[in-house]
Amino acid sequence: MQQNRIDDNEAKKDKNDDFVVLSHLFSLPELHYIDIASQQKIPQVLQRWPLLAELAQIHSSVSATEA
Amino acid sequence: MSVIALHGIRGGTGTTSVTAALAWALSLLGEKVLAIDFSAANLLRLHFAMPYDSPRGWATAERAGSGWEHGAMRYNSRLDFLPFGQLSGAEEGSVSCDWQNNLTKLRNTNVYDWILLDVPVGEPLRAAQAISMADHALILLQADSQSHVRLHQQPLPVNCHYLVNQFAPVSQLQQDILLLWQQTLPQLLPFTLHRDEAMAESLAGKQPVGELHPQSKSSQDIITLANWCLINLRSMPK
Repeated sequence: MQQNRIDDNEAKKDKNDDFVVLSHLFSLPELHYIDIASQQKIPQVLQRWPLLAELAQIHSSVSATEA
Repeated sequence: MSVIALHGIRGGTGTTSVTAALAWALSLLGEKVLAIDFSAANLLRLHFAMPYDSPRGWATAERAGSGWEHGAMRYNSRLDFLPFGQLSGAEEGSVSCDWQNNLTKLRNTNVYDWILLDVPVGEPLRAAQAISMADHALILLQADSQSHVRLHQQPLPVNCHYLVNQFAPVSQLQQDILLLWQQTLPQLLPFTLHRDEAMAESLAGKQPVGELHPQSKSSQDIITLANWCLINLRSMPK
């Protein structure tokens, strides 16, 4: 009777594989922060809202490192 | 046939109301549409006048062994919908349904031009599966700080489109966030859905917004969205 049982580890592995497949379909959104400082009005926006400025700065430096 | 998954970046973005409204608008434009509720909250059906106490739906039918298609409902000659169905938490956990296969079957029947999936936020595995089966994903955002932060930290479907819902032009913050997204988020749709009482009333009125309030701003916005879908997301018949 043992033969028909699905091994717990095997079952878990399958489930993990599903997650791996799905994880390829998801990623962090592409945000193009490069050169936004040159856009009209954007500097005012960032000046008004510290949180937006903080995220823009972090993301710009990441983009610059990658580029 | 094009399959579009509609999914909020978080709860409360109005995804279900927009799904119902878009399904109705596409049918108004002559398209054959099926809207499918993937959320166990089972709310989409209420936009299509279904009695609250009816347990009917694809998950209920699947669990009863009669097959998911027996949960389907006809709203009008061009618009059908599949409610999730009313199940308890334990029952819901035991429902497994091969939607990839079901969608292939639906595709082969050539009945529908569009299938809209209302994808829940609170059920990550079912959401990921629904999105992976769709041809296109529309992520609904609100132009607020929380959506903005989530865009920086939350994995989202590759190649999805972003749609701002409940936009209030009188808000300085919303204007600013929209402006920033217009410059930084390449997949943002070139129009927004405006905050409008008509959309809020659509669930209470148990009708898609275009039918309940045809002259409303929301109704116009949704027609714009439906036309954008026709131009950009329609798959050519093979």
